[in-house]
Amino acid sequence: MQSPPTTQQHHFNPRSGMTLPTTQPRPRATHPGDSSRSPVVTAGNAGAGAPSRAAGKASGASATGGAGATRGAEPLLEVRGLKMHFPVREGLFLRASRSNRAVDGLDLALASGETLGLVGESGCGKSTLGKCIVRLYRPTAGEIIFQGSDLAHASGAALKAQRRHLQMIFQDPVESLNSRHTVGDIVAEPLAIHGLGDAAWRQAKVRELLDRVGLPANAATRFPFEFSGGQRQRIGIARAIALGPRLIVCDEPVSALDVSIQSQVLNLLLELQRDMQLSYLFIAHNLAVVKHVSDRIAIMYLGKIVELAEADEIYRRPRHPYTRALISAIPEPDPLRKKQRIVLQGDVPSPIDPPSGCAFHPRCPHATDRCKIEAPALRETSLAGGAHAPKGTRQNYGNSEGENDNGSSRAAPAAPPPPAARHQVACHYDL
Amino acid sequence: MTPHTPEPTADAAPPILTVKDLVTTFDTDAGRLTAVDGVSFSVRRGRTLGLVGESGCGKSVTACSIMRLLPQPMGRIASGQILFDGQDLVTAPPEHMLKVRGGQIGMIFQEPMTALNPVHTIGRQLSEVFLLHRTRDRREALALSAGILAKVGIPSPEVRLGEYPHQLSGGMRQRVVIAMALACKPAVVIADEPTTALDVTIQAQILELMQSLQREMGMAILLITHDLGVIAEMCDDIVVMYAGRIAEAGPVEEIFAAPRHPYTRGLLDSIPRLSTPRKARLNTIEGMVPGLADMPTGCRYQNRCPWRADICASPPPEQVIVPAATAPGTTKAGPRDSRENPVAGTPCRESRAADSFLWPKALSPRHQQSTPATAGKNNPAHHPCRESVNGGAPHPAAARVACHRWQELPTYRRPDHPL
Repeated sequence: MQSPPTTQQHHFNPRSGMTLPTTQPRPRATHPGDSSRSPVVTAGNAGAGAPSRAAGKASGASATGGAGATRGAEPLLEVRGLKMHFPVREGLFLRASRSNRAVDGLDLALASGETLGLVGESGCGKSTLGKCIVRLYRPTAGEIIFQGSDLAHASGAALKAQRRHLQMIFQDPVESLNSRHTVGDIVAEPLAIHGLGDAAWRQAKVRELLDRVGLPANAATRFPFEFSGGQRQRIGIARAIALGPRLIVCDEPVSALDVSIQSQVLNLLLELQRDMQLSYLFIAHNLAVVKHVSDRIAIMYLGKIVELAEADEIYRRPRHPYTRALISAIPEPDPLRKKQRIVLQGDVPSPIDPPSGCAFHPRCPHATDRCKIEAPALRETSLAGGAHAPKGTRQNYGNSEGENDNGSSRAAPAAPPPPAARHQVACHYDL
Repeated sequence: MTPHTPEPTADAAPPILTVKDLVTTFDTDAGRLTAVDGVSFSVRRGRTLGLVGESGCGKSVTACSIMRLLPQPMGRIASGQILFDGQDLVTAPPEHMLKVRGGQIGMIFQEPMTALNPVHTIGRQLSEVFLLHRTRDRREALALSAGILAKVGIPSPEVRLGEYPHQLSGGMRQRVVIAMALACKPAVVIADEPTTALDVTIQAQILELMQSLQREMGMAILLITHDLGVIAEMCDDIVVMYAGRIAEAGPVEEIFAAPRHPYTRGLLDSIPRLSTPRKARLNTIEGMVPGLADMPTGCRYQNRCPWRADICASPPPEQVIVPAATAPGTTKAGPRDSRENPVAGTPCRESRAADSFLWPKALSPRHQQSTPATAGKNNPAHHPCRESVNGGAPHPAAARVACHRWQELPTYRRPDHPL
């Protein structure tokens, strides 16, 4: 397992029973020190100064199946001040006089093995954020630090190398699969793009991947239209895990599926996360689904995060009026629980011409004059867990899933409070 | 309306729309496929009936059959009755259907973008309904349109009348579609996945709107959705469909509290709820709905059912009226039930007392005791509920289930139950 890195290096994971290409196979890795490290140990452990932990994880994680996630001292992904403005071309000469501020100054961090849920209404910029992170869009401003290197300004070979660790699962399982390619071709395409193995190896690999996501082996020779929605989404998942990524951006992966199929796919995603130590950025509008899979949840409104907290915390003690309305709007499958719905009036305003001050104020039942003028910043709420860390320590988000006992060797006595206790909200008032 | 209707209990409203043994077929290259196979239910006046099931189980085909909007020439209603206000819509002449559609039965479609014509203004599309059913005067039709737009909560309706669908947001478009459906104050509104394409906050707005309009105008709603949460919030009664047949039907509290069909249980168990522990493995229904061309004989759910036994492969299960479980000892369906259901009544509670350790064994002695009853169930002539489902009308609110083994299932316990 600790074989020296070559271009063809595979890591056998006994739990999943499949050989995955290692995460950093190439000597021309983008950040220093990579080539000397064992593949699974790569990101997140560089600065921690805990070689025993690193080694322990490399063996332990694959032996036990790694119920928990890596606790990196550095987040796997950090987004700082991200802006994505699309020019709106209008008028006689199609001048870009205004812009659509789809993502407008957004910070977040994601630890290795963590799932960050991203919730918001359509048009709030959550999919744009996801696409920026995998660099399908080039952001207008800001940084996307992934495994220590900035993706926002990367291009060419450096970007391609990083994309191996960064995959995406799309919402529409029909449109995200090329209908003229066989499933085998679709799943093997990432392997081919990154020049892994020869054709025979790729074929075997495709079979493994299909088996891993619960599709029959003969699926490889068939076409996407021969499969149902749930199976197509499995094909999309097989393609996303083909390169053994560290982070998968899941853009509404189950929204198009029936409930019974939805739970199958959610179980698969959770299983894969355990077995492959994946991190997810899980974008969805179904809050019950997001809460089920996420460690932390960020609520977005008009291109900004309005509330960010540990998943149970955000449901138990939502602080932002928008979050409260969202949660109260979820129809609970329990006819006896007739709860008080907070019905928001109106729609999400246009991000081309956002309201002044707090973007939520036109729909907010608690809005005051201050809200119309002054935009609230994301701040720590005072009541969350007592201790609240100052800003700037944000990179120390870990996995809030507390049961990972490997984390007992957590270094750094000076570490800020566990992220589970942190609850950030962008509202002027403590409601 | 029907002579067999029992004395109405406190919450019973008379049915306004009754579907009896509806069979809808499609002629395809693969031969004649039966999409809806013997579906019966009643929508009660002023109440909401939810039709739930996975995609491909025949919900929308049922709705299109009621409206006689099946794709021609492939789709046809092979047999059955659709009684609306005493008249059978299956045999009604096309001219009569023109009056019914939009006039007496309104329909709300899923995709507000495709339901509206992009090249006509809102005003033109909306006033068309009035021109067909109410008036010949364009001006008056436009004025009526403005009125109904205001009613569904669209600000400055006169301005909106001159706009095109793309100028409206998704929620606004759905309001326009609702306005069209309600324009002529229909007695029944069929809502086919009205909020599936919308955000939760907008969904809450639309559901609230539908509820308040129902209170005000007293129409009955047939709500088709796959979202059990929406069903729980909106409906009085629920019909669970699987692969073209009814798996289970009854009052919504009853079905959610004590689902008897394994499919209903599977559906209820597989939704992540706010109260389920995070990252816990969700219960699933393995596999998927079989295609119309390769339906298993017998129970159509057998391939996915954790409680499958040999009996499931033989004739399809009949619908049995079951006693209410929510309030033991009382049956919602009134005296008719206790008279008719010696079979269904007692062993049910017995087997529930016997509980879960029994079911993995194929048939325990206790179950063999009830074999005469089960045998009777398969014989149409002897089955006490047979004529009530097919012949007369069952009590509109009675719970019924179509499963051979419903008496043997353990008591239902929600997955997020504290114990």
